Amino acid sequence: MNRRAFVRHAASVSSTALLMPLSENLLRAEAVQAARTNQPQIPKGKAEHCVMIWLGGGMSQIDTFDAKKIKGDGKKVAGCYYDTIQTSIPGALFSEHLPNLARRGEFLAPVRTVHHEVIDEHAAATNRMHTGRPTSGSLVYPSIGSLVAATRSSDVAGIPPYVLMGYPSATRGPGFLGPKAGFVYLTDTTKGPEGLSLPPDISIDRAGRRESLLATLRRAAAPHALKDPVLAAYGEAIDQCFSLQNGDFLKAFELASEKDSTRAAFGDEFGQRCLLARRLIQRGVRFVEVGFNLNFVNGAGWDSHNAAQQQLHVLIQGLDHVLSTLIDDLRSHGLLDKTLLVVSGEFGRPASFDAGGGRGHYGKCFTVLLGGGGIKTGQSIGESDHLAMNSVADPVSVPDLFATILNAMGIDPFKKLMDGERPVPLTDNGVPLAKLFV
Amino acid sequence: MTPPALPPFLRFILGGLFFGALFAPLSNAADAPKAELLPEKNSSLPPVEMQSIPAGKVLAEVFEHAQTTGGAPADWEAKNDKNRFQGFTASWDYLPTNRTQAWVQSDFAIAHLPPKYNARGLRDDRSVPFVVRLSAKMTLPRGSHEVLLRAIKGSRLLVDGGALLASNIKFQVLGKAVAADAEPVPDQLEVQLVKSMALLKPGHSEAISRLESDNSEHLMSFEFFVGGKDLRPEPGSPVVSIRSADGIWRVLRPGLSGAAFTNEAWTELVSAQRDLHESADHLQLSPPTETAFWNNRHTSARKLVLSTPPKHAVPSDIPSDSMIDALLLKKRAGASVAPLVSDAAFLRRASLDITGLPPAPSDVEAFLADKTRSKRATAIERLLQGNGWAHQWVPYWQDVLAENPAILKATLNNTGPFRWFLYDALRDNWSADRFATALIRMEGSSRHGGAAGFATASQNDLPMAQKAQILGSAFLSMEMKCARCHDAPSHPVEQAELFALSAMLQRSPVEVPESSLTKGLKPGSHVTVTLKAGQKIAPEFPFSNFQKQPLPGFVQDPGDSRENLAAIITDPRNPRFAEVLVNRIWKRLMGWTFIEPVDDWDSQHASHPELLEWLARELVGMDYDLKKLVRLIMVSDAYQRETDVTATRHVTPEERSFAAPARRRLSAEQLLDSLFFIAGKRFESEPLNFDLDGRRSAKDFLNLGEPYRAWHLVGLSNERDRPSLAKPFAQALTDVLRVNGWRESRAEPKTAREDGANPLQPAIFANGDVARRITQLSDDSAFTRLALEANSPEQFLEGLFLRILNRKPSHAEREAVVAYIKEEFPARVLPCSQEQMPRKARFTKAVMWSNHLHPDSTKAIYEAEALLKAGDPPTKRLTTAWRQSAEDVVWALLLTPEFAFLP
Repeated sequence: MNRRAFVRHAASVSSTALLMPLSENLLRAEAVQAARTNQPQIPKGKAEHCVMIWLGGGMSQIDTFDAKKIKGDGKKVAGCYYDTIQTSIPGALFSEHLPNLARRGEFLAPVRTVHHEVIDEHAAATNRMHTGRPTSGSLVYPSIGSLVAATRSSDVAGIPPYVLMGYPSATRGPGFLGPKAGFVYLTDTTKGPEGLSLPPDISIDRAGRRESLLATLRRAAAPHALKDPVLAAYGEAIDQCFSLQNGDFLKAFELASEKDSTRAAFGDEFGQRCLLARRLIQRGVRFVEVGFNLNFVNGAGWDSHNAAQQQLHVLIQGLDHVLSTLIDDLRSHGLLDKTLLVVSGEFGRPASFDAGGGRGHYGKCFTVLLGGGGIKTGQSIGESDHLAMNSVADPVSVPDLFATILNAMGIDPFKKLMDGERPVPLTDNGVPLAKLFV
Repeated sequence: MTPPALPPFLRFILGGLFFGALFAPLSNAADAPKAELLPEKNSSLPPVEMQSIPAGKVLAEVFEHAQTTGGAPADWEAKNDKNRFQGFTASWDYLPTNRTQAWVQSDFAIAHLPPKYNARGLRDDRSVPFVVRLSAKMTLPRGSHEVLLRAIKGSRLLVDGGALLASNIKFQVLGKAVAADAEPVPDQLEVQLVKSMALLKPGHSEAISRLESDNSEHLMSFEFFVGGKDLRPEPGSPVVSIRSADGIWRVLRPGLSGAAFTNEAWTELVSAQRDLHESADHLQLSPPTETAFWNNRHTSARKLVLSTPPKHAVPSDIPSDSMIDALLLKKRAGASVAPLVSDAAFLRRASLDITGLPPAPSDVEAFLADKTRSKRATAIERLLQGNGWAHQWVPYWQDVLAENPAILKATLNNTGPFRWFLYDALRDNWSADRFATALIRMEGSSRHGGAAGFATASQNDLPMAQKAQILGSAFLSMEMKCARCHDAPSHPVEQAELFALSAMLQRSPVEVPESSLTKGLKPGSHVTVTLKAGQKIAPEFPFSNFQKQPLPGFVQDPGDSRENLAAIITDPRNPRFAEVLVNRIWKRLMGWTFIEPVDDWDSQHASHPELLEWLARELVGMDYDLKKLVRLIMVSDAYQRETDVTATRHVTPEERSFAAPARRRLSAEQLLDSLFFIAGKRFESEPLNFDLDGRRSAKDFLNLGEPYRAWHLVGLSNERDRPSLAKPFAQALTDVLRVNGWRESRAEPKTAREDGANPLQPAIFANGDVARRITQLSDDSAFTRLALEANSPEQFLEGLFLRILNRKPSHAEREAVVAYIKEEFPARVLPCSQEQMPRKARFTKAVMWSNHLHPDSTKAIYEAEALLKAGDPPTKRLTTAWRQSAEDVVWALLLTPEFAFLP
């Protein structure tokens, strides 16, 4: 790109987009501008929902979606811990424990060259892969779910845009966007979301009696409350709370109303979470994060240090089974093209083994799986070397990944949100991956 | 090893051996190497000074600065990097000899270890390991007794200087770890030697023995180690208990009195010891030199204000308690004003504003019955004297000063837990200038509650730039956020100026980090970067409109740039500091203020310049005493009026002519604390700590203790999303806070929280786990007591209204509620003996970092979740149908908007 084109393009990007401390150097910024300018206009995606499956701990890419023929021995010899299998994606190998997903390659797009440098500590890396940015001392960035909630509220009135199935943390929260872009969360599909589901010992009848007593008491105080706009707003929130509780949203949690065969097909708690994700989407929820890190299976979950590696295949098989079931289920409901699937974690793992036969943390090159969502699936993005540890082609930055997710959902990734009077771009200068849209 | 020489009047047998048949064979004492009993190198603490032990009391002493023979440093303070917590491994061979602290208490137990304070009254670190010794002159009745020790590190009991028994220094894992951090998950009830006793805390060892007493006086001493090489100074819950002729285990104390040693008794002891230290002067929070220094400063400041005429003249014939109203009404120019609120509404408002809690029902009744004219002023004084002030104001400063500790591997812009510094300074009502100065000096412990915790910012390329920015918005209302990375388009502060302030805090020139410079700016942008990476910016106060030469006697070390910065900010010739504080406090009490937003004045001007200036000068004249400022505002009619519904609207300073408070919602902390206060229940949270056994590196873990007020809570750091790292009870508490505007990460300073209403706020009261515990009429509920004691449905509901809404019910409310509960009222009480009362199931598993990767830990956390969901068991002393109706009334009152707002 010539100098003039760069300047012209830069001028078209609002200066406010650049008010942030940027993590990457100037060369990187220029490269991004160049990429942006050289590409044809990237069309916006048409996905209306996103299900992000979060593999807390960090999934080993070489043992899953970027498998390699070089076999590791769990000791000195680095390599894939399992055998590989062909997939329906040209040039992509999965590990032997992903047979069902391998057959559904046309709906998948593994992004194999994602990278970042925060690998020492899970919390910091989890933050990076939820907010798409380094932490800043001057503001707290929103998670991807909150970004979606803030930019694409639900079409259906009274449906929370962002549901989290996992443990609440600031990293998954709305940051400077405040509680309105926050999540409704649950940690157990049998119990529903905290605060919105009736406690098990409160019958519908009793709940009704309580609500009418409350209505009487509120009426008794009405003259006082009505003229006060602040009290009135809280009063409205009370009404909304009961319509949420008694309305369609809570019905999503009645998994028992699904056919037994459907419930059985989804299987364990992770499966039920994915089934619930579909039911939430059907009711208009925009973004569902599904945590899958049942660490008692192998001890450390996806964080497969030491001996945890030996049972890792159980988790991989679980993922294969449930995600395939979800894909089929979404297809049968006509939802797959409208629902972007993201399988992510805080980082990847090296092909080499630690002293205990497991794998450490690795961030220079790892895989995030995309699927469905009306994007150009059936292809891999980026290519890694023989051990899936270095990018050979098309490295994908975390901001680019975030821009891709937002673009797939029809959200302008160059849009800015306001923190008070300060404009904050949705991503840290990310550009959507054109191959997934053209 | 030969046993120590025994006092001839005592026979004892090492317990584990003796009791092997009676108790579980897990006795640590049985396995304890006897070498631990007697120092090989004849090391001992200095002898107990018998005359310093008051009769019937226990003398507690702290000993620091042990020296090992292996060439360990004599001068611990100089050689140890306190932030890295080195020190050395605890051993009875190397006992410290330097007594650094002493106090008198009642029991052979430390349920709350008082902090150490430095010469400026800030929490400080002790050398690790240190030893605590508890000693008393004891006369045990003639006959046989059993004694049991518990401690997290090594402990031993001595009688007249001879060691009687000891618990392990090195904790022994009971069973085999299946992998790293996958040790077995103990059920503490199974582990502990005596099942009927309070639950053994995780990581603690026990030792038991029998002794025969001769009914004469002997010196008994309990010594225990705290901390060790690279370990947090974790005192645990060291305790000696005794069982005598009546067969009841009690915490050992002179006179052998007291209740049985149960969980409840221990909880009481924690409160009692905390109260002891909160009210004691032995902690030296205000050392005489400091007090003198600040008295001198305040005298000068007062003189200075008296001799400087104000910019805006105020009428000279108006007494100061009436000045606020006079100046507000002047601007209202005859427009009508709202009437004063009722007495009940006033007390609720004042109580929440001063203590963070609603008034107790008895206080409401007494206040309503009081006929004296000055009763409102008297109530304000009483509330200001109480201990609620700090609890009300800590959360405010946590937000404003971005207090952001992490209990696990701090990486997200985390600070130290300087909440304890805030608490101490507020509890002791430090003057605002002293408070700001201590914060800016950043001294004391960085990881355990000193002001130095403010200095930390993990994963930040220039922590002091962030600190300068925070201090600027907190005390000068200058927003320098943008200047962090470039010269600001809409703010007058340039990046070089912020960095010059940073250099003052750093006490050296700062080098501009490349990562702090905005890249890729287009030419002609209104945002500019004028600094170069690597450039050095010298420490210098950059703003010209401040007095930079401190007044005589205003700094203790003129060579210290931090102290100079503090002196410039708090200089009485600089009106900004006092005005900023006045504006902040007015906002918090009134819901609107003179200059908005309170943390960014920039080009804003005051709506009531003469009142703002007058209050600021009063504040200086009152020695920067914020309680006095609050009193001055609260005695005004303006504060005591009914809310002005228009005062929440955003209007220009010219249009701002209110003479009453705006409608204010209770803060998240006030709501959560109110819930537990009205029900008379405790949080019962897990400790805010992952390293329960205190065996992990001090740099990775922080112990924020067992929370009992909302501001103690913290983000629960389960970014790993591991079920075994969940803290279900604490999570239920933070759920209430989060939806009400509390931030689980405070990486950035914030004054105005998001306070818009959303449906999750009432929902958490309607169905949340916490609200369920509050509504549940269990045997420990204040509502249950009310239900049992009431003589009529009317009396019960009056009690509920007093407790929950702090007023009497209206006629319509009375009718509605009586109709709901009158049926079955006469027959509501059932016979139920103490024994028949349902017991709350206890969570007895010890899940922590050391075992969280063991499969059993996940199962145990699921059990804890189930216990949480089960709530507090409902009382059997009331019929189910009537109890449920009563619970419904409590539920409905919590859901009324009135509960969530100040009147």
